[in-house]
Amino acid sequence: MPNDIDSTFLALINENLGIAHKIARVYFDDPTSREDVVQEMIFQLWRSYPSFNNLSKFSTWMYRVCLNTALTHFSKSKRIPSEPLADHHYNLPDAENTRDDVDAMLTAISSLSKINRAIVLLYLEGMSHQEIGTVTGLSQKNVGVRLFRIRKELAEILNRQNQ
Amino acid sequence: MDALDEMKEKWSGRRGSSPAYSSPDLLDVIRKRTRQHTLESMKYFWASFTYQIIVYALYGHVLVKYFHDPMVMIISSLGIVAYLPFTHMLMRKFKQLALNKPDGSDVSPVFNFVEHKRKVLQSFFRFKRRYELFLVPVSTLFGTLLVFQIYVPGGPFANLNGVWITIAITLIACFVAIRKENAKGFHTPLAELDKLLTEFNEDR
Repeated sequence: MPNDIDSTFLALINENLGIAHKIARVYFDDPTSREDVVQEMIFQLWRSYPSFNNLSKFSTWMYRVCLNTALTHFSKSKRIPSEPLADHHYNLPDAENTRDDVDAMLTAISSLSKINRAIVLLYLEGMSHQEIGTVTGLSQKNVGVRLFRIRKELAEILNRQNQ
Repeated sequence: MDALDEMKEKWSGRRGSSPAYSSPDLLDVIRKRTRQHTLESMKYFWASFTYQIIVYALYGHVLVKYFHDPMVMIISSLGIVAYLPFTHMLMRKFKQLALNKPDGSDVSPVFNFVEHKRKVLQSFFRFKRRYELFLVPVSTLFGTLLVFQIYVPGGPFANLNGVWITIAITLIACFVAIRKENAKGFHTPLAELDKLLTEFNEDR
């Protein structure tokens, strides 16, 4: 059991905590599962932190660990009871300004297939096709092809939402 | 501008102050998760370990108590011999599955991670199925023969109908329990992982 938290790790987690919340939001419908998966992501990040070697950005590394956790969390979500998060952990960044837009975006992303959700999240973070390929394990060309299809699919979903 | 680029523009404009964890908050989450993971792994370990101890204790006990009865001696010895390699393999597999040490796969690209998870789960499931297909019928047969030999006048050969009925009931009960457990612990997660891998492999 840990007795102390590395201050650099704590600072990096707090700086990038939005990543965990965004991934939880697009992969899990109910708040209990989201709470559970966010805590699981934090645990997996803490476990894997010794392997973080500063060769990539912390946010890229965090996306990789969080996506791996979210995509394979289905088998545990009903078995591990989660501890409730403190109230302030429910607030997404800048919630008061763009909540509706962001909600609509996240809802649209949630209706994509699981791998395409990951690609969109990484694209929205401003990653290049090559970086998305590095995180997901897909080729750069495949990322391009998928993004082309995702654009069409998202346009249709948003159109339906607006009607 | 298409929907995705519009989203990207809004997305980049929403970076603000993130809700923060304090050091004790984070430590609390990590401690609880560590405890939950350990408990979950150890629950399966202790269940199978206790079962193996009961089996060895039972065979050992009847072997000593009824050493003058060659039939009991043979069944008990065969029972122990049949279980030994499985105990060894089971402990090794559990160690692999339950160690919970980061092996680097957590930070692999998503595709490699999903593939690795599937491989580990499939390998344990394959072993478990072999274990069930061989050891459940063998244990049922040995157990029934032992009970009839020790407690039923005339032994198993004078009560063949009773022996077959006992074996059938035990096997049906085991089959129902195993099927339910496999569906929850293996079929569903493996199907989910397969679905992810299929999606990954589209257009590759």
